[in-house]
Order: sequence, then structure tokens, then C-alpha cells
Amino acid sequence: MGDNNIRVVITGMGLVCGQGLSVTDSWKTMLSNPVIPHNISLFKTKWHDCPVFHLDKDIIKLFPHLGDIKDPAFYNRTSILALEAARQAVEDSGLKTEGLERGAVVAGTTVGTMFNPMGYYSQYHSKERLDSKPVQRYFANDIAKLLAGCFNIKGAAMLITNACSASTDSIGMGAQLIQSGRADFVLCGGSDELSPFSVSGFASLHLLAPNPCMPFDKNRNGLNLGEGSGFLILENEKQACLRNARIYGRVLGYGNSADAYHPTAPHPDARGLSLAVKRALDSSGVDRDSIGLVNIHGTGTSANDKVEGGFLKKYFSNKKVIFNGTKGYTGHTLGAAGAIEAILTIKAIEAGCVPPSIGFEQVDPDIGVALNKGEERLDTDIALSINLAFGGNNSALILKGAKGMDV
Amino acid sequence: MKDFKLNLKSIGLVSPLGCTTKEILESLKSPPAPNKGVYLSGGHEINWHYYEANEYLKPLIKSYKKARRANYFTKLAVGAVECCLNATQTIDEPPGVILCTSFGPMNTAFSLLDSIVYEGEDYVSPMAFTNSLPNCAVGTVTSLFEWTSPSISITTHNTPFFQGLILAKEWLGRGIVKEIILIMVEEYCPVFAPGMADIYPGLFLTEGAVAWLLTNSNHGAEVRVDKDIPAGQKKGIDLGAYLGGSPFSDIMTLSIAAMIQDEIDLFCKPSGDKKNNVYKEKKDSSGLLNMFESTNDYHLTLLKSEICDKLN
Repeated sequence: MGDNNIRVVITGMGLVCGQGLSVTDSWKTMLSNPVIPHNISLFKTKWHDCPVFHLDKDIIKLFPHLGDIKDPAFYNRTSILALEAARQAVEDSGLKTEGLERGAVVAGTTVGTMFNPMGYYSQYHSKERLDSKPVQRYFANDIAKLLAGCFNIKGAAMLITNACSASTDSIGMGAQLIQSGRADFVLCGGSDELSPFSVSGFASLHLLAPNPCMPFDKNRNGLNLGEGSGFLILENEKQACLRNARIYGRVLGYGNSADAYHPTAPHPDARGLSLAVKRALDSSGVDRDSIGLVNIHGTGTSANDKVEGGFLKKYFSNKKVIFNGTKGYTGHTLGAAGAIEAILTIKAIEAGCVPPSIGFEQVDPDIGVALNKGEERLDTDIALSINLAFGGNNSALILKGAKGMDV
Repeated sequence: MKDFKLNLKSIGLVSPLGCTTKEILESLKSPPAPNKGVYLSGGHEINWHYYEANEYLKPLIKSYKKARRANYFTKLAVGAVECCLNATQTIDEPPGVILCTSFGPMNTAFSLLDSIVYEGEDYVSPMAFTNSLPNCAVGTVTSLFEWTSPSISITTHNTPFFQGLILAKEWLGRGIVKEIILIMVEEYCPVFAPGMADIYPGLFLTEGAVAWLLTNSNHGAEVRVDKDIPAGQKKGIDLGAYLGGSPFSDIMTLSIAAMIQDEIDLFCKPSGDKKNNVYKEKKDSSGLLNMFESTNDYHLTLLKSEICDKLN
């Protein structure tokens, strides 16, 4: 993105995750008394004792500011999480909804686009009277369209479904829309709820850890699922400065690639991941030596961490970089992961400190990369955030924090 | 980013009327009747019509051993991409891949639900789980053709093809890739259809896949996404009547129209039972095909199509 004169800045952030119901709360909890994963009580499942991060069942009660939604029961958890995180981001940016016409929405999700109401399915199967309300609800829960409607945004409303890298892509594409002049600002991010679908699916792949996850650790044995949402307001820097907006940082670069290898396993030589990082750096105008922090994908599964860690070790062999994993705090939030991790990365730069990579204890000799165990001071302001996804998608963002920014 | 012309180099499709110009023209001589769907819901009959495309898909994917585990949704995408590649002379380098859909692989998602509800969670198939993700089709396409280029899956009820076109223009304008395969796929889902037909009486569903090879070089037909709606003349065959009314059937109709426009007179009127003429297509005497989606002010125009020469 360095080939363009339009700079893309971050002027608003909103977050709901296992650590808290806002950016500030989550950050504070992470650094003081982190919430640990717990059993599943949202729905009945054989895998209820696998630790996860989920919010209360009656989720709408958690978000009193969403009180003016006409019929909250009409929206699924993914949408409600998205609405709250987006509301926070818009409010944080200081933008007024009556002035958002020249904007766009780019959202990411995984289970949010699936039509899977068990009641409807049981009715169909037993040839009972069919209640079509779930179908209406399904149409109403297209989160990109929903957010565009709620915030009076008139431009493109894209819903990216690149699985676990979806919201990394939504941020990258949001930045592209601003640079090409298609939008003055973009509401971008991702949202995903914990669903029986993802629990059963990851269990079938033997990827659910029986204990809190241990990204990159020698004894890691799987992932913890989570639910949450992260949204950011990206804006043309000139416009942001004109309205004296608070600037958290900048999206410098974005890269995306396909592994072209396997539906679930990453390419053993990290073919796609290395291309995504290269493309992100090429578009950012900075080189790899500028990077001081890497927010890893780090799910805690054997295959992901081995490939990702192997690549990072080789790629940053000559440089001291802090490798930080945050899924020990949030669980794997699938389509929301990229946005949540981008927000936590920006917060780390702003605070000048990186929270401990919870779950990491011992270096795996097969990986050779150590994550930061304790809270660590951060002196640089440029970071890389990466996410890998089923289907072989890889995405990378180069982010610059506000510390030392020449704005 | 400089402004440039977005050009359509070739089209591939798997449709209920066929995959090639020849098959489509043959089908139009005696158009197949759509299938009738019926669901008895507590004494109230829900009816709808639908087309399937599997008749034309099977011969296309025989050679793809690696696609044997893919679901039907993915195979539709692979079939359209293969047709699209067959219809062009060259691909300079791996194209970017953008796959758009309104509903994704619903049948696979329901088969997963079937395991969870009726068989027990122990019986959930890992393959069904991974195939239930909309981006699995993109992963299969990139794997089969060994493309490591950027790839994106868009799943939205909000004009998915137009969202894909906007993204394609971004990537081509920035030089991220030289060419893009823009795919749209929908599969018929018998579980979802009655619920949808209950809300939309007279529902007419079409399944299949369309793949457009887009470039910023001067090959093929120009594609415009803008706000000018050129006037059109209606004459000849109404394709929309055969293919039903939905965002997907409209893109399918436009693609078929582009392929056969030099062969027969045709026009495409506002499709299905859509209120307020949300989707329209027209062809005027200069060989221009136009589609617009009024709610978002996106207008799609194909100009001076040369692509049908390359299709057989």
C-alpha cells in the first residue's frame, strides 16, 4: 500500500472477547487478572468439558447500549457481537452516523453465514409444519448489510468468509477501499459466535485441547475455541486530521495468498504464509527489519504452530522480534480472530508493553521460537499480525502504532 | 490508482441449460421445464420451482482426481473455472480468485447438522465440516490449479457478484494480480427451499456456477460498474423466464446472454417476481448488455462482447 499517497489511519476500535466487553476492559483484564477458559454451558454438547471462552447465554443483557434494537431476538449471537463491537468503534471514532454515507463496511465471519437452526431442520425432517422465521432471521443476519443499515453506511458492504483469516482480510480490503478513493472511511472487522457446529467440527478433527491452549509450546495439544468480535474504523488520514480525530495507528500493508495445498493442513514449507507476509511488506513500504512485534496466529495445534513457527524462525533469524500469542486470552474466535488480534497489537504498541503469551512455557525444538512469557516492554512501533485459515488462506497485516507517528 | 478498463476475457459456466454455446442454443430450442418442489406444512402446501445443473457438471470434472472428495458446491465452482480456462488462449500468471455466493454450501452444512442432531457428535465427519465452510471451494480451486495468488470468499445476500467485482477492480487497479477469476456459485438445497418459498411465493431457484476471467488489458468485452444505464431495446427471447429470479440467476442470465448474443436475438426482462424491478437486464442494438441493481446503485454493463467467439 506504500505505492499510494493516501494513508490509512485507525480512528476507532471496538472489542468484545473472553477478557472483556470493551477494548479498555479487555486490555486491563489481560494485564492484571486474565480470565481463564471454562467449560461449555451455552448449549448441550458431548465436548462440554473442553475449555472455551464464551459469554453469557443471555448476551443481549450484556450490552445495554444496544437497547434500541427493535427485536433483539431476531439477531443471532454473531450479529449481536458485531453490532456491539461496531457501535463501540463508531462511537470511539467520534464519527456521527448522519455523516457516514461515503463509507463502506467490510466484515468477516465463519459461522455467521451458515444457516443451521436445529428447530427448522427437525421440523423439515419430521415433515411438520415449517416455521419460516429462521429463514427470515437468516437473511436479516448478514452482518455486513446489517451494520451498513444500522450506521447509515451507503457504500460497499462486503462479507468475507475466508474462515480464520476473514477479518484480517476485511481490514486489508478496507484499507484498499480508502486508498483507491472508493470510501472515506471503512467499518471493518469480524465476528463469530461459539456454535455447536464449530465445536463438533473441530472435535471431529481432534483439534480441541482438553486444557487451556499452549500456543507454540512443546506440550501443546490443541486449541480452545472462543467467541467475540472486533471492529475498527479506518479512515483517510487527511480527513481524520481535518476533524481532529484521535489516531491509534496506521494500516501500512496487507498481503493475502493461497497455499494451494490442502483443505485443512498448512503447506509444510509455509509456501502461502511466506507469500502473504512478503506481499504485506511489499505493499507497506517498510522492510522486515522495521518489525519489532509479531502477533502470531498460534492456535496451539500441532500442525499450525509447527509450520508458522518454522517460518517465523527462518524469516526473522537475524533480528530480535517479540513473538506474541494472544489466543490464550481469547480462544480461537475464527472469523473474528484477525480483527481482535489487530486491535490487541495496536494496544500493545500504544502501551509500549506486550502482555504475556499465556500458555507458552517451553520452546518446542521442532519450532525453535520462544513466545514472550512475561509482560515485555516494546520500543518499536511497527508490527506484523498474521492469520492462517482452513482452505489454505493466509493473510498478513503490517500495522504501525500511534507511538512516534508523524501525523 | 489510475482508472482503467475492466475487461472480461472469457466466461465459463455450468448452467441448467448447458455449459457451452452449442449446448445452450440446443437447450433453447426446447427449453427444459423446471422441477416442481412441494412441501406439505401442516395442511398448507408450499410450492416452488427449481433447476439443477448436475447433468452438465458430471462430464466436466472427471479428470479432477483431487476434486473427488469435494462437495457438489465446490465441483460446480471447479467446473465453471475449467470452462472459463478452456475458453481463453492464455493465462499470463496465476489469477486472483474471488468466489461469491449468497448461501454457500448449504447441503453440506445440513449434512453436518444431520450428524449432530440425529447420529450424535461422534459421527460428525471432519470432511463435511471443512467442506461446509464457504472458502473451501476457493481452497479446492487454488489447489487444483496450483495458484498461490490472493484468494477471497464472499458470502452475502447483498449483491455478492457486485461486491466481488468491486474487489476485482481494486486488485487489478493496484497490480496485485494481472487477472482475476471471479466465480459465483449457488446450489439447490431442498431443505432450505420450502422455508424460502414460504416467504417468497412463486420462488424459482436456479443452481450452477459462473466464472469470469477479468483483466485490465485490452482483451474481451469491457465490463463497467457505474451509474449510467444505457437505454435498451427488447426483442426476441426472454432468457430470464427460463432461469428464474435471484441475484445468481441474473448473473447466469447475463453470462449466457453474453455467450450467445451473436447467435440469436434476445432480451432479458426484470426477472422473476421481484418487486420494484430490482434487477434488470437489457440488450440494445449495439450489442450492449446491461444489468443494474438499484438498491446499491451498482450497474454492470458488458460492452461489445467478443468472448463468444472463443467458446464452442
